[in-house]
Amino acid sequence: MINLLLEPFTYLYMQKAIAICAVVGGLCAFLSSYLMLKGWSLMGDALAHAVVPGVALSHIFKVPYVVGAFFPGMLAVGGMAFLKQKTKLSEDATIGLVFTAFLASGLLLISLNPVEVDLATIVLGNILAISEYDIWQMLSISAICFMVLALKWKDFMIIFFDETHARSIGLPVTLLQIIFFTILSLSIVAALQTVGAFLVIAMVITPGATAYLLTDRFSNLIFISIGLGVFTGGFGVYLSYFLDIHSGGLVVVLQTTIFLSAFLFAPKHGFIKTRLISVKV
Amino acid sequence: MDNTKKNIEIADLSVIYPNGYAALKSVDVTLQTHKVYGLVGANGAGKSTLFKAIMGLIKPSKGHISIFGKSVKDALRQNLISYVPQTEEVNWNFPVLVQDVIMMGRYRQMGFLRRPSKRDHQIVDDVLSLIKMSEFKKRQIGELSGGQKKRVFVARALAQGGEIILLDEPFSGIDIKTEEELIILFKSLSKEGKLILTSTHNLGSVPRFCDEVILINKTILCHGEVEDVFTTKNLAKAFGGFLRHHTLLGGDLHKDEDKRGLTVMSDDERPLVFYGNAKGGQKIINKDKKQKIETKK
Repeated sequence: MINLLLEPFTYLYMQKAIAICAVVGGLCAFLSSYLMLKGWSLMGDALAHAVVPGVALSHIFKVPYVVGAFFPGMLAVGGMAFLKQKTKLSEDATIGLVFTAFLASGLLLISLNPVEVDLATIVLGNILAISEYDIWQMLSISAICFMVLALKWKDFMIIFFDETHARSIGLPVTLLQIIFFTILSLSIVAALQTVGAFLVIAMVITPGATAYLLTDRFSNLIFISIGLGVFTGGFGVYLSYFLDIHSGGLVVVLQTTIFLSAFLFAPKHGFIKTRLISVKV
Repeated sequence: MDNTKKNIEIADLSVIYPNGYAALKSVDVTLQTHKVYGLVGANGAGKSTLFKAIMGLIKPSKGHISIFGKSVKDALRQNLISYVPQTEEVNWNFPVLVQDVIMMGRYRQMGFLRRPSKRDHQIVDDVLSLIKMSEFKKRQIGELSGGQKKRVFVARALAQGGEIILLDEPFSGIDIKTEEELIILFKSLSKEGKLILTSTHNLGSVPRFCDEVILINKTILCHGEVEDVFTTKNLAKAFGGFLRHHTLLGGDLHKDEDKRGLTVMSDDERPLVFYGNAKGGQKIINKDKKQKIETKK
């Protein structure tokens, strides 16, 4: 029995996949704690789609994924910020406008050169077929992002909570915002390869949203969220070995299952608890 | 610190937004420490734009601001300005406890990793008890009443310890008790030497709260002691008829020859009450009234 349970670990590709997915899951979860509090959850969605042309280009020109995907990502963030500042369009309109433009040009690029690029890999990701080179790339990106977030999480918290106050105490708000979106773009590029463009969205929303139901304190929220991201990432890939199903899909299904249980059973903000209170009243 | 210049000097300040809207036109005003200033004007008169300019959130198109003889940037860096936001501007669903918010006032004084020292914790506790919120220390901020919410952000400004305190609509949506306590608190802070600038709709609390009033409508209309500035004529000019305005003349009030009439002006909450000869002789009576209530107690 134990041998059976340990079987996935006997394969090197499974070991790698589990580790990578846990790391990337944790990183995305860290970011999700911030994004959902500002109503920016769809920013992750937008970025994931916006990097598609970059991924296509880097396949065609054989440059590292990160380089190709990172610049369209930042360009998309810049485009959204620019539109929002210069027009009266609402945030969701600017996000929708920009990312669909990027996605469409990505699809055009892929259709020009269908042999080089497999659309399914970009959209769905393929954690099990990841190259050694990509693994090191993702691990170093994740390590840097994690380090910056761990050192500066309080500064980011202040900016997300009260930007005016952050400026009034002299924090370099614009610089920190640029750093945050750089980290977000990098993390999404990394996550693209694990669960694909579609499911990245869940990775940068669900863990934070789940943790939000479980605590009233931001420091705890980050810990819970990262814990969930790491666990669902690693365990999802592990489990997918036995069930023989798409690992990215399973990771997200696991995340959603935990969210639903938190929604029902959370000690303070859970549906059942609040129901009980309202019945008593 | 340079002791010669303890003031905010605003000279010929104009702000034009990128869409071409001129929010402020050549504003000239100097604010001193030891005083509470009331910034009064209709919606869109440029109150918040002036605040933003003082806090360096927007760049002036013309003119300049000097704070204690320094540029805005340097003043912010030296933590001179504490800001209390409008209640509507805060994300009350954010998962932070009362004590966390107040601790945010101390961040400037902390090191690279923002680890609070013993002294920071002590200051938070002191401020909490000053503002009578010690028992709510561990509450999530969304679970507080309107008055308590305001207290938390006042406490953050106090923990920050800036020489200048900017209050954006401090009295909207709070209970009378909190309003009274905050007025007393800010009065004592200004006696200690702070410069307090408050924007407010609440005309009725201005006479008791502010030493000087600045009437604004894109530019400074009038600036001076409350009694001199708050005349029915000036207010009509500042608000251009947006104010609720009722006058009861002598004849409406009583049947004798007394010509004195009563005027009530209000923007939203607490009204401003004038009494006296309707043709220019009316005086604000809010101030006296409050004192009477206090002596009764």
